Amino acid sequence: MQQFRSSGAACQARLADVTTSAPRILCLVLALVLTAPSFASAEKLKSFKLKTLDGVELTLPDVLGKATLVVFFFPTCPYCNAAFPKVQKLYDTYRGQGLSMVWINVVPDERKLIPEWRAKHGYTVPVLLGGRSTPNDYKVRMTPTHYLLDARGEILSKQDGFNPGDEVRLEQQIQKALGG
Amino acid sequence: MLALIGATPLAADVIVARNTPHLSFIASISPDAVRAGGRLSLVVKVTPKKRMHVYAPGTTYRAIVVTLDRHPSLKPSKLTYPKPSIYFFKPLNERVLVFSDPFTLTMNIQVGTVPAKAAPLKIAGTLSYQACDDRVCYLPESVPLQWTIPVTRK
Repeated sequence: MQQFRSSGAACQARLADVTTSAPRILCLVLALVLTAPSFASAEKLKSFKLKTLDGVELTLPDVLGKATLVVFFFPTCPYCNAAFPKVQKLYDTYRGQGLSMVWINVVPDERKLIPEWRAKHGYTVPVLLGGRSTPNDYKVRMTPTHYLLDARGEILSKQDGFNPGDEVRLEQQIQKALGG
Repeated sequence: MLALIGATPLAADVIVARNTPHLSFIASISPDAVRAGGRLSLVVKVTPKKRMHVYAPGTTYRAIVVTLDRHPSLKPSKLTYPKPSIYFFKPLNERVLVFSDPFTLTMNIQVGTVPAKAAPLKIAGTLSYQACDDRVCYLPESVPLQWTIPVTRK
């Protein structure tokens, strides 16, 4: 790709030197294609239709805020349990500024653990119940997996796993997404 | 020759070997032929991949386990685990029981009556586990297992 980009730039520089029309046109096209800004749109998170613990069905558009954090987890995931007190705190801090958040369970046979697990830890972030295809649908191979989205559902950042200190970077990303 | 000594002239399929992103294992059943009233021994040798660990019983996490599907001719005993090691999970400041080095699980299986139509014995089961490394946890996995054991009548 680098080779093509430098060929395009060289082509532009040589336009004045090209005397025949066909190579000149080809050079012009090449220069325009290789140096033009990308018009590809950002990737959107695939929409979902999942149930809450109360059986209410929600889609991605239903939960989008000014910025939205979607986290894939399961209750017995150790790194999820390490991350979530900090992620809950971010929700409490920035909810009033337009941050929306959902946690999506990706291990269906652990859904029965969720109510007690939420109550034990005092979590208030809404939980959605993923199905058997959810990990494949969202390319989730490890947990927690965080997707930060803008107001249109476009992916601003993705993070797999959690280590102490990651919440600092996540908070900075949230602040930026909220226009801070 | 095999027919003369009463052996069932069928091949045994007694070894299952698999390689997942988190571990590799060899699950073998012995002996490679059994009679009604006899006993089988299941041995599963597991090798976690580099930096990986799986959980042992006695924690709140999903322990590695081998389960056999119900079979009217088989009575499995409890799965036996080796002594686990202690992993310090720094993010939660907790010590958990894990297997991070190669280890072996064993189970004895009592064979009851085996009707002729049920031979050879097809034994099915699952190895289930959930692995983590030092940064992420991976989704729980269930790997199907199956062995075929000829049944001798003497």
